[in-house]
Order: sequence, then structure tokens, then C-alpha cells
Amino acid sequence: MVESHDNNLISLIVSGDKVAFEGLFKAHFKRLHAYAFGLIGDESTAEEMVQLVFIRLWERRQYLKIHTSFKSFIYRSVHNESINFLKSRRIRTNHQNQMAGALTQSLYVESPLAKMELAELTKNLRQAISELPEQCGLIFCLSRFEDLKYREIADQLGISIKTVEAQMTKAMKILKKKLVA
Amino acid sequence: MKEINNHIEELLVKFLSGEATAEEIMTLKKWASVSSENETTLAQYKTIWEAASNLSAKPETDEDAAWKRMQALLPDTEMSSTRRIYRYPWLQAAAIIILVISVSFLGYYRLFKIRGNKTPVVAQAPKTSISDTSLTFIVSGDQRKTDTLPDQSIVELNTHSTLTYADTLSVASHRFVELQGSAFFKVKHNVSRPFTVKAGRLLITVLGTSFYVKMPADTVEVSVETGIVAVTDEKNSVLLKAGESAILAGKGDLAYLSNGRDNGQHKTIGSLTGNVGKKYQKEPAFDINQHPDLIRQLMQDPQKWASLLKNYSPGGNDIEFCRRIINNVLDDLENQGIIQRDNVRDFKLDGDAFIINGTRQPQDIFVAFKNKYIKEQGYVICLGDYKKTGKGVFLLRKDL
Repeated sequence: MVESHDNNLISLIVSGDKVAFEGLFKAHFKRLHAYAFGLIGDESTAEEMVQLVFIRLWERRQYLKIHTSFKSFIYRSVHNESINFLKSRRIRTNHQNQMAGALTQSLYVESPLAKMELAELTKNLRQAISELPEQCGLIFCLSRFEDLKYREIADQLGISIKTVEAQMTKAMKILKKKLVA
Repeated sequence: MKEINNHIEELLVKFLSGEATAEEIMTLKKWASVSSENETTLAQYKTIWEAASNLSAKPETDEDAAWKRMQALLPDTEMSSTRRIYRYPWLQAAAIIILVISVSFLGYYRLFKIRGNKTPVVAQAPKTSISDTSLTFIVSGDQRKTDTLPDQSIVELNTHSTLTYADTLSVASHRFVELQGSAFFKVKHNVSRPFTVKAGRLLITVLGTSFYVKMPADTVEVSVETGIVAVTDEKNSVLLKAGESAILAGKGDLAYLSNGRDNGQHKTIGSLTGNVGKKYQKEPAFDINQHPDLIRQLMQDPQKWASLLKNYSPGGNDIEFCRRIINNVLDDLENQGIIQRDNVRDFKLDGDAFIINGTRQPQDIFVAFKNKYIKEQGYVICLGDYKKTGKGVFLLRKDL
């Protein structure tokens, strides 16, 4: 039902209907934002990830063809966008080093010592999740951030429950290996 | 042995996700009780699982506000995605003035005057009686300088750089600053107030993000640390996200670099334009004073300055505009008894002469028309089959 509503909106968007686009954005923003936040851990960056995906969707609306469900498409897009962001952030930029000064320090306030452990785990966990293989990471995040059942993930991505199960197992195995040194 | 392990791992995950059967849970419990090592493994799995679930837990952001923020970044609805190119070289100059207008209408004279001057030494321009807006300069000497702007954005100026902003920055609906030199910006995220940096020929617009602008000699370089930044030169607009850079070298075109800053291995994805760039330098600066209709539009809807500018055309391709101007001229000619409008086959009015049907008009008529219609140097108003040169109004008789 929801899915067919999305599809109606998309056919309107292809013809340039901005109101339909607004509807689609608003219908999915909160969940997608929470999802991107789960990966990135920063609200405004998470919002920008969602923005980027929707801006691109709008810019390319004429060529829009969604073979799977819209939900699957949009989550995958936000997932990949966020992962790419995290990768590019990891590649430390030169100019940051150039500008290493008082400002840089003041921008990155250190977490209080008491919270260190949890903060450390959270940070490492995000990093580890972002390094999961694509499909594996997407399935894991849909399960954990969206609280979806295996059945729902399978339906959304058009794969079997067995695959979801296998990928979840794989994800946890990798995460444990990375986090428990 | 490995076989068993795989099975247990599968069960662990099933158990955690609530998909395990009672039988499977029993098996797992039995396994956990065998050794403390197994118990620890179960605890570790649980910790990771729960930590992962908590990663996305956060206060919900209002989607209406989010939509408003995003709308500012969307290309114009009316424009197709391929037409994100600015037609008019002077638009970028116009934007400076407009942005200040949206702050204070009278104040723009001041910013306009300061542009292009050498780095001022004063910390603050004196206030004048006609305007309640004054400009603040942050000037760095031999040392870098870090400062917090009135809107709480942070700027770290590299040596010998200057940042200029109007004191209304903290309340302006569009935050605007001008940079000479290099700086790192950490822009305060704001719901609905875009932040624009003018750097040479570029306008860099952001919502709340950090990025670096460098202007060695004739080049402007923008690198994005976090967030999204729209970079606009006189013709193009490109969206940059984290890790990406754009470079505008000399009079050339805007080039886009992806993840380009490490090891100096820039990969230029592509230049986005043709070669209109050179023309810009010769064009006289766009003087918004000469375009009251644009000012009116902007005053009515200052938020939409970007699209208004993009679409504004003082006698370029906007046929309605051309018709209006030509008709005004023809009406004036008729009303002043110079010539019946239907008898005008063609005319050309520029800064040098007024020629109707091939006949040069007397000096007094020419001067009167010139003063009324020629808005700036090089502007031409033509009816008939004249070759289109430079800026102005060009209209064929049949299009009237």
C-alpha cells in the first residue's frame, strides 16, 4: 500500500512535480535521517546525506527508473552516500594539517573521560560497520537502525530470508572480530 | 570444529534479533554454559548488538524544517537539470550587491566601494548617518587568526587574508561574507539562513558545514571538509560534498575535483563549461542601480535572490523585456512627434548615436533617449536586423 503510494509519487516526480517530491521527502526523511545518523553519528551531516540523495533524485528525475522498491532504493542510496562520506573523511585532508592550529583543536572537543569507553565503542563500531561489505552493511543497518525483521528486510531488498540471516551472521562475525581485539 | 562455530554464530545472531525458536534458544543456553569463554562471547555479541541498535537513537528532526533547508539547495524547478549554467557573466557581481541589499538597502554602496580595494587596516569602518549597517574586517597579518563571527560560525584566516562582513550578519536572512586570501570555515548550521562566501569570482554557498577556501594569486580553490557546498562562478554551479574540491584558475573555468586533496593527486573529473570565461573580465561590472525592476523583484522576495538573478535578463533573451523596452522607445518617439511608431522600420540606440531608419538623429534627441534608455556603457537597444553585439535589447520587427 505504502509502496504503491511511493510509486505514484515517483511517476509524478518524473514529470517534474515538486509537490510530489516534497511529499516523498517528508514521508521518508525522519527514518532516513535516523538511519544516516546511525552510520555517521552527526545530525547535520546525516541530514546532508539525505539531502544529497534527494537532490540527486530530483536532478535526475527524468531518468528515474526504480527497479526494486523505492524504499530499497532510497535506503541503499543513503547507505552508500554515508559510507562514501565516512571513507572520504577518513582520508585525512591536507589542508587540515596545513591549518593545524588553535581552531582545529577547539573544533574537536574531547569527550569527557567518564564517557570514554562507550564513546570509544560507539566510534569503533561506526567505523567497523562502515567497513562491512556493501550488501552486508545495508542488511545489518536495516536490522539495527530500522529494527526490521528478517522477513521485512528480505521483502524490501527482494532477497531470501536465508540470505538475510547469512549476511547478519557474517556482519556480526566481522564486527566482533574488529571490536574485540 | 569450525562447522559448529558457524552454526553457533548463526544462532547467536538469530537469538539477538528475536528470530530464534525455543529449541534454538535452548541449544544456545547449553552452549553458553559449557565454558566461561562461550559466556563471554555471548556477552560480547550482545554488547555489540545493543550498541549498534543505539547508534541511530536520537531526537527526531522535523521534516518540514528539513524540507525548507533542502529546498534552498535544489536547483530551480523551472529550469531543467542541464540548464544550471549562468548565462550572464556579471551575475556574480550582482549577487554581492543583492545580498547586501537584503541586509540593508542603503548599505550596499559601502560594500561595493570596498570591493577591489587593498586590504584595509582598520578594524571597523566608520558608521555613517544614512545607514545603520557597517562593515567589519577581520585582517590577519603574519600570523593566522581565528575568529568567531556574529552568527557563531568560526573562521580561521590564513596569513595576510581579510574577511569582510556586514554587522547585520547575525540577523540577516542570508549570511554573506567576502574573503581575500585563504581561510578555513566552520559554518554554524542554521535552519534557514544560507551562508555565502564570495572569493574572487566564486560564490560559495553552504548551510552549515566546514570547508577551506584558498586564493593563491589568481586561483580560487574550495575544499569541503564536511557537508554540502554549492560553488558558483559566473556561469556554473556545482555541488561539492565532503572530500571534494573545486578550482577556478585565472580566467578559466570551474573545475571539479573528487576526493582530490591527498598526495596532491588531483583528478580533474571535468570542466563544466565552454569558454565564456574570458569575456567576463572585459565586461563592466553589473550595476544593479540601473535595473530597478530587478531591485523591485529582489525587495519583494529577497529569499529567492539566487533564482531571480539566474533568470533576470536585462535585455538578453527575455523577449517580453525586449518588447517592453522597444515599445517604450517607440511610444516616446511618437509622443514627442519625432516619428510615427508604424513608420519606424528599424532603429539603433547606443552610447554613440540614435539611428532611425538609417538616419542619424539630432544631438538633443539622441541625448534625451540615451539618458533615458542606455543603462550602462556598451548597452545597445536595437529594432530590426542588427547584429547582436554585447549587452542590450535586440528585437526583430516581426517579434514586436
